[in-house]
Order: sequence, then C-alpha cells, then structure tokens
Amino acid sequence: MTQSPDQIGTTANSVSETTQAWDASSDPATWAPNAAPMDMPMQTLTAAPLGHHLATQIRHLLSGMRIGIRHEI
Amino acid sequence: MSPDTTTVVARGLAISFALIAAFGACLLVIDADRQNGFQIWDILRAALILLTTCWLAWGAALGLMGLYPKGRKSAAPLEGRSSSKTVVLVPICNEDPIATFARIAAMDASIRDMGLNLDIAVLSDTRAPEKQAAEHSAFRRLMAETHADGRHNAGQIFYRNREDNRGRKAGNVEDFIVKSGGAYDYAVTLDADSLMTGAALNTMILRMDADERLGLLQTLPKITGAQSFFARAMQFAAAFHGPIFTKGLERMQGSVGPYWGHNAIIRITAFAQSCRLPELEGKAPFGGHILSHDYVEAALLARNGWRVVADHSIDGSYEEGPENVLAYAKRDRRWCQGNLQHSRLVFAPGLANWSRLVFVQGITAYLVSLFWAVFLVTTVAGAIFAPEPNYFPEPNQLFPVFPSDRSREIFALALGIIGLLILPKVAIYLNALKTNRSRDFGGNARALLSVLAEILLTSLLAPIMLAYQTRAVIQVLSRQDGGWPANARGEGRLTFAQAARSSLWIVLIGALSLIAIWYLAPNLMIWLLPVTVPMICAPALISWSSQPTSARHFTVPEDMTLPPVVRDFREIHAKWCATPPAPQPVEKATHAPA
Repeated sequence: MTQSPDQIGTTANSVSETTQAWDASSDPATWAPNAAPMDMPMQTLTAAPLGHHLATQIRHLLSGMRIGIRHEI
Repeated sequence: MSPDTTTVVARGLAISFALIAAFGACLLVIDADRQNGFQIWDILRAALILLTTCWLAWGAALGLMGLYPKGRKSAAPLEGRSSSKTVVLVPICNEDPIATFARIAAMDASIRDMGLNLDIAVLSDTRAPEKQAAEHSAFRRLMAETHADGRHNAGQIFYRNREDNRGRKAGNVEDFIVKSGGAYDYAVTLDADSLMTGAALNTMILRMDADERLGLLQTLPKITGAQSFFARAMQFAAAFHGPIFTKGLERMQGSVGPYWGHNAIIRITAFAQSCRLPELEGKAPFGGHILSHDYVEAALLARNGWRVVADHSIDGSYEEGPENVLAYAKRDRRWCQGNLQHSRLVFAPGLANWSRLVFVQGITAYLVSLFWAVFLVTTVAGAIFAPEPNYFPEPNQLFPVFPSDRSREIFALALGIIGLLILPKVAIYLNALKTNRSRDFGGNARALLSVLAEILLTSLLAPIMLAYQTRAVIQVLSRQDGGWPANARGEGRLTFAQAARSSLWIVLIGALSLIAIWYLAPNLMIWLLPVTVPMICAPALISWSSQPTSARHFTVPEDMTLPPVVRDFREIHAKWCATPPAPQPVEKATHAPA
C-alpha cells in the first residue's frame, strides 16, 4: 500500500438530496456534475532499466552480507 | 497480497494441465516428424504446437474448473439500502444518443423502483457539433420524462462534454474523478450499451460496503437484443458457457481479478489512488494512450493491495454484442492492439505475478492466431520439402526399412486438439442437464441443438476469424495504428456484396492455398479442407450469419422472460424513435467545472 484510503480524496461536496426542478431551456453548461475535486496521482508503469535493477539487487546482497566500502572503512 | 491455498491449487492444476497437454502434443509432432528426418520446419512446428496447445488447454481448464462443484462460499445475500454515495458513469463517444439515453431512462426507472438514491453522469467525448446537439436533445427529453412525475428521494442525472479527449475512455472517467469524484464513495462504470437493474446495483453497493478492501467488483454482463444468427449464437454461448468459464476464472484469480471496463463498481478512493494512467513513451500502437486500460487498472488496484473480484452470480447486468462477423472483427482489431500494447507493461514494477500472467494471456490470445497460421504454412512447406525416404540407410543392407506409419498418432493429436475445444462445452451441457439449467434454454433437446449449432458455426467461422486476427496482429506488429473507431452498434444485416468487399482477400488466400496444396502436397488436402473451404466461402458465411433469425434458434432465458429493465428500454426506445425530438440549434460544448 502506498497510501491508505483515508488519505485519498479531498473536498467531498455532498450531492443534493432534494429534487431540483428541471428547466428544459437550461444551458448545457449547467448540466455538468457538481465539482468535488480529488487527487489522482500519476502511476509508474515503466520498469527500471535492468542494469539498475541488478545493481539494486547486488547492493542488497552485499549489505546483507555486511560487505561494503562503508564497513571496511 | 498472497493468494489463498484454494487459489494456488486451482492455478497449479490449470497450469499443470495446460503444460502436460502442450508437451504431449509437442512430443507427438516431434515423433511423427522424426520418421522423415528432422528439418528446420519441424522444429518450428513443434514449438508452435506447444504454444497453441498450451493456450487451448488453458481455456479448457478454465471451463472444467468452473464445473467443479465445490468452491469458495458464495457471498451471503445482502439486504437493505446503503447510505454510500454512488454515481453511475456512462462514458460515450459518437454513440446513438436516442438508444443511449433510452437505456439511461430505463435504468433510472429501475433504480427509483428499488428506492435507491444514485446519481447518473453521462460523460460525453463526442466532438462533432451536430452530434453534440443530438445528445443535448436526447438529454433534454430524458430529463423531461424522468422529471415528469417528480424525483423525490431520487438522484440527479448529469451530462457533460469534454473538449479535450485525452486518454479516451480511461481519460474520460479519470476527468470525472479528478473533478467530481470527491462527492462519491463508489462509481458504477458502464458502456453506452450497458443496462443494469436497480437490484443489481444495490447488491454491488452492499458488497462494497461489506468489504472495505474490495476495490472493484466486476459483474458478468449478459448479452441482450441479439437479432442475427451470428449474434444469437454469441449471445447463447455467453449465457450458456460464459458463467461456467467465469466461475473457473474466479477460482483461479483469487483477489487479482479482471476488470472489463464496464458493468462494474469501483471504490473511488482506491481507483483515484491507483489508476491514473500515464501515456507510454513513443507512438501508437505500442506507445501513447493505453488502449485496453481496464486490464491495467485492475492490475494497478491489485498492486496497491485492493481486492479485485469478478462475480458471475450477480443478476441484472446486460450489454449488447456485435451483430455480424465484420463488427466483431472491427472490435477485435481494437482489442488486439490494446492487448499487444500490454507487452510494454508486463514488467511494470510491483505488479502481482498473476497480473503479469493476465497480460501475457491477453497478448497470447491474439498471437495464437498468428501461430496457427504459421503452423499451417510450415506443415505444407514441410510436406513439400520433405526428403525422399531412404529405404536402405545402412550400406550393404539386404532388406528395405520402411518409415513407420505415424498417421495414427497424428490423428490422435488432431482429435485431442478438437477435444480441448469441444470437451468443456459438452461437459457444460451435461452439467446443465444435471442441474436442470437447460430448462432456461428451451429444454434439454433445444439446448443440445443450440450447443451443437454453436460449435458448428464457430468451427466454420474459425478460419475466417483466424485470418482477421492474423491480419490484426501483423498490422500492429508492423506499427499500424488502428485508432479507436466508434463501436458498430446496431449494424446488422450484410449483403453478399458488403461481405465480399471485406473478405475478398480471405477468399483469395483460401483459393490459392487450396490450389497450391492440390498440386504440391495432395496428401494434406483432406486435412486442410476444413480451413480452406470456409475461407473460400467467407462472403457467403459472413452474409448468411448476419441475417436475422427467430428466438427459436439459440434460445436464452431472456427470450422466455424478458427482464423488466430490458423491456422498459425497448419500449422507451421505440417511443422516442417514433417521435424524434425537434432539431435543436447547435450549442456550445459543455464542460465540467474545474
């Protein structure tokens, strides 16, 4: 999980529960849904380059074996 | 999310079955080819039969898995009304406005009958001003009629038109969520030809309420309104075989289920958190907007830990299907491009392994046609270029050695492949007899006739479909973008000339292949007739199968008892078509508030 559901979403405008009279002559601009903006973060779909992936794996392996420049120093 | 034991066992069984069948078929081919000396063709043929049989066996496993009686406990029936805010989204683009808005009127009536307070939002991507004006007229009529008797405790109906069509349908829904999603807990996504009952919507909302980790619930829509022989056969197959195959899929998918883009409910927070799709680097067909966005959205929801579930048992979910082979092939071209584009996403970071497999499955579904086509070509080539048999392989040999006859094994292989195609359908029929389900399809005899006729029709059309799919794959692989044409809804009957115009190339390939086989490899003639003859007859088959037929053929439960929501839609549609609205002046496009 990168974010819990509670962290998502913002101003939840309540939807009108009462009946609104329909005005047949109304402008189409007034037919749109109510504004209630919400965050929608862009997703990452491209895999990291193979070299980067291998380097990460090797780094993890070495740190697991307690081998690394930092330890030697 | 780790899959539970039942899911792991189901997946293991299906994968094992597919691999055993595939390697069995491959070994038979290798053994047969070995008799005449192994050539380059034979290596390719063995590899192709491995892949194609694996695919067929995988499909058969889905059907057989769906027949297995024991399984997960189905969700307990839920009752009552939810207070969760839900909106029904109807994204449209260049659709028939009268039919689309008549469906909304029928759904709205069903929703109100159920006592639900749901909003409906029509999200239009239509750009042509005259088509927008037609949508505005239809919307005015919808609103006039649905407000005629007041809308006490009923939700609102919205309409907005997007000026920037970025991201097509996925972008259209995304635009709504970014601008208005904060007002709702759930959104039901529909297509322009979708119909859902208030009862089905209520069940879906209660299911979402009952499981706070459920990110998406997909229903299995039934096809309605089929008129032609082809469409009625597809409608029958979807109603008779579809639920069993979907049940098999449900067993294997666990919580990493499918999303088919419509007739599903999504948790808005989960969708907003997980499903904003980037444009892929490069140009279409492999770059740009993600065409088959639904599979990707399901995978992304699962990546973020949300459950994605399909449930075939939710009643009251409907859609329409293509009326003829050409409309089917047109839709298939679009899906082919979308699925092959997923090759860019198979290694996307963090995806569940099952999601990656689903992408591979979707890609294979189209590549397999190309594989079959190449298999047929290599079979003919192998027969033409086969070396003369050597009856005296050893020096100073007194008696000739005849190559052993492997035609029995090849016949067994052909039977096995046909069996993989037919066995699940026969098993589903026998299960329908046992459970009395066949009664809903006109009784045992009529259901049997429908099953046999559907098998015959799909077998006749298979080489034609193979030709269209192979062309689609080659077009995509050669980087031709098919775009996103509007669905050909309601395009039904085709004349012979219309069918011939779109299938002449198939006739030519079929005829030339038959002549070539006749001269070069006559011993293969009998084997390849079931492929070449339907290709030569493609215009006749396409035209004939597009003709309307009565409900006595391919009877489905909806023929005997028309669901009220479908009946209402037809009545409203007929009424609106009989009295078309007065033409309206072309208005400026409407935009949702930022």
